[in-house]
Amino acid sequence: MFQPNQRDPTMPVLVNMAASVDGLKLLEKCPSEKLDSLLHEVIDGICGHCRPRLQDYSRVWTGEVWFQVLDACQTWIKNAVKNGLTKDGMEKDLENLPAEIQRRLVECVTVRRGDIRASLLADTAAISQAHLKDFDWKLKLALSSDKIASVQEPLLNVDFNVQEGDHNKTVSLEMDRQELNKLIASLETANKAVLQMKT
Amino acid sequence: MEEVDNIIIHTFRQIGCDIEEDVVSLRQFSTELIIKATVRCLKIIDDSTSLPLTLPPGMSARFRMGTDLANALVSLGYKGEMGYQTFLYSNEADIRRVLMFLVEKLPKDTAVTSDEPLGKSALLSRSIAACIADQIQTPWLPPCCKKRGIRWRTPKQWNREGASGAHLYHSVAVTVPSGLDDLSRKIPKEVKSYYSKALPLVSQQPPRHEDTAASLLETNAAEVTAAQEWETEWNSVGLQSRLTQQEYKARKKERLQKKIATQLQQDVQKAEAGGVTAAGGAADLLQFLSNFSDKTPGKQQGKGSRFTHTSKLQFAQDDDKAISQMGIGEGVPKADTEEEQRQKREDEQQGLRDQLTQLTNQMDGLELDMKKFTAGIQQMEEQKNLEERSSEEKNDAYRVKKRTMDLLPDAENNIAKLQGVVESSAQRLVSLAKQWEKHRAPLIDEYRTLKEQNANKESESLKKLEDIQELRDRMKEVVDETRGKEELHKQLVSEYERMTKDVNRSAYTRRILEIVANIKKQKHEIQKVLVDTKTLQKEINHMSGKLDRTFTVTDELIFKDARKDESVRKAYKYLAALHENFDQLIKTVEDTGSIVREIRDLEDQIETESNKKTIANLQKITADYKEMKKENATLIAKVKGK
Repeated sequence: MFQPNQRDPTMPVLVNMAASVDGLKLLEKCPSEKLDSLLHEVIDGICGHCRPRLQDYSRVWTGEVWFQVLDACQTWIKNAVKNGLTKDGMEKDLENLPAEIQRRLVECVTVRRGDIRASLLADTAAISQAHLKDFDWKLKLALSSDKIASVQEPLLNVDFNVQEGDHNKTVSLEMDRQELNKLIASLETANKAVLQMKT
Repeated sequence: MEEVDNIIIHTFRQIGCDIEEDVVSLRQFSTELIIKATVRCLKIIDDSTSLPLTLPPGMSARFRMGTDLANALVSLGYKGEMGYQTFLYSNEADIRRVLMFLVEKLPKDTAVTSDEPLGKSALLSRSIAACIADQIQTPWLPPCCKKRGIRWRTPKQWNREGASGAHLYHSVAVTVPSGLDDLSRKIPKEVKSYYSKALPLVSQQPPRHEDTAASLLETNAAEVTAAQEWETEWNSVGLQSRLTQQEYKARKKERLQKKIATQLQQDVQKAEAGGVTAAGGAADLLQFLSNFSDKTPGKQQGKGSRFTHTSKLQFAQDDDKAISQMGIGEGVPKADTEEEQRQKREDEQQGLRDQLTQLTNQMDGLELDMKKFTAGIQQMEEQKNLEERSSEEKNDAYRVKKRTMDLLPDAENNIAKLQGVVESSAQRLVSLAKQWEKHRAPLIDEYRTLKEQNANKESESLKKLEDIQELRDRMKEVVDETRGKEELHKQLVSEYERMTKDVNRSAYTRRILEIVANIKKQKHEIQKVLVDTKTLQKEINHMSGKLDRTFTVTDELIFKDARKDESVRKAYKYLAALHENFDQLIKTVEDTGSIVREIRDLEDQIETESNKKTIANLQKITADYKEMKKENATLIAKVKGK
């Protein structure tokens, strides 16, 4: 059945791959001793760690080209992991590149496949409108109030770090003991539901 | 007595009486001190007691206070003799008894709380109070003097001020080399080089340095919870499936993937069904559209929401209208009035509507025809099948009949032959059956034994599974138990450490033990003395009996001879005198003993009396008496003066 509103899913990948392979050619400029660390840093960036910095490579590329290189590397690596390419598949994909760069790229992806896959999966699992990224809590003890001299009530302050689209939002809650119990109970039921889905 | 005094003095010090260091026994207690201690105890036992802590100056007031104290003690349940004199003119033994009673009456926990009185919450609130007081007292410092909001008090003590050094808890997935603990497994070369060269340190992995701790905590927590979850699942479900862990995991993965796939398929189907109905609703409209004008492009047929179609329809109409208007504007002068235009449009509409109804009617008819034809085709096919079957049957019958017809001419021979064939085949059947039987019996036996073995193995494995489950449970139990015991041990150790600070306690217990040992020894000695006394008594009885008997025998002998002989008579007299004298002697000795005992008793009494400070008390009493007289005199003088 023909679907006018949907683009052909295979098309953009091919286009991207071609573009990224073009961009990957720029890697030839990179001195070979820096290539490994650059690729690993790119992968680190995908996994949410430190990204590579231009100042470390400013002798090799100018700013504009630098971003092209980064983009190309990222898209190619992501696609390679996403499509589950084997070693041969990756080599075939990189046919046009020099053998040294080919080898390095393939090696990096095979070594870090697990990490990249995990981060891509996390991104995919977060497709809903808003999702919880992190939470933080601190316990406070209210000693007294303006009316009562000695309150001695523990209060829990929970910060939920929620990601909505591209920007983070922090939702802060202050709860006393009962409210906290309620929250924990609801979280436990949610966990139970997840466990049921898992089995 | 020393022990008791020590305990009493110690307790008094604990409840807040300032007793000087050199006071070691109750003998050194002054009247003021006694009164003070007693009132303090009474106050602790019963809060509502309203007695002053010091003796009032007036003599009569003193007596009144003494009686009040005595009454309070009696109302507490003191059994002994009690009056104002107990306090005002004290003697050691009485005071000791009273104070011991009071110390026993003291609520136990106050004795404990004064030493280590604080629960955790009280300790916490106290430390909070101390901290706040500290912070209130310290002078203000400009923020630039506090790096990251930390103020150093002493080289080792610091506290945070303000929120300048605080940051959110934000975690990042952290990569840690894995598989290094198992030396027997080889790590691939590339992975090794990655670990050694490219993998940054954990502290450098998060984009912001502050996130390191949070990331590490988070990663660890995630791993721990995952391991726990797996453990419980493996224990509850995994073991019973009797697969290895890898197999179980693979199977679970397969199952989950299948589940997800079916879910997705269902959803897609549902979505498609929804789309089709929408499209079906719009289908006639589309047809109408394509009929109406050729402008709507062909590729817009098919899927799409009702909304898009209607909007397209509107646009198409608008386009058409615009074009017609433009055409009108170009060709014909502006003579056409609105009326005419409307008329024209209505006509057009009517025409189109007619066309539409005509077309739909036509289509309905065609559809009906189509249905009829398809039904006809089915019927025909069924009929055809029936015919084919019947023709086959007929063919079979024809073949059999033809054979029999062929055999008919030489009937007898053929019948004999047939009989022979039948017999031989019957024989063959019998022999085959025998052979089958021969083969079958051992096979069946084998089958049965195998089945039995299988069942045995099954039950055995079941048993083993149960054993494993039990062992796991036991392991868990034991682990819990050890953990609990370790905790208990820790708690007890800390408690013990806290307790050793209280030297008195161990000293008391040691002394109590010593006292008990002493008492035992003394008891033993008393027993010994008692036995000695008994043996002595026995000996004395024995001796006196012997003496009596000897005396009677001698008396008789001499008495018999005394009649005959004068000298013997003298001897008899001497004997009697001797006996009497000795009797007297014994009596005197006994009397002496009892007198000595009395003397000792009296001495004891004297000692106790002298212990009671009678003379001093007497002097005090006379002094107080004189004081009273003086007071009375002044009072009388006052009265008279008035």
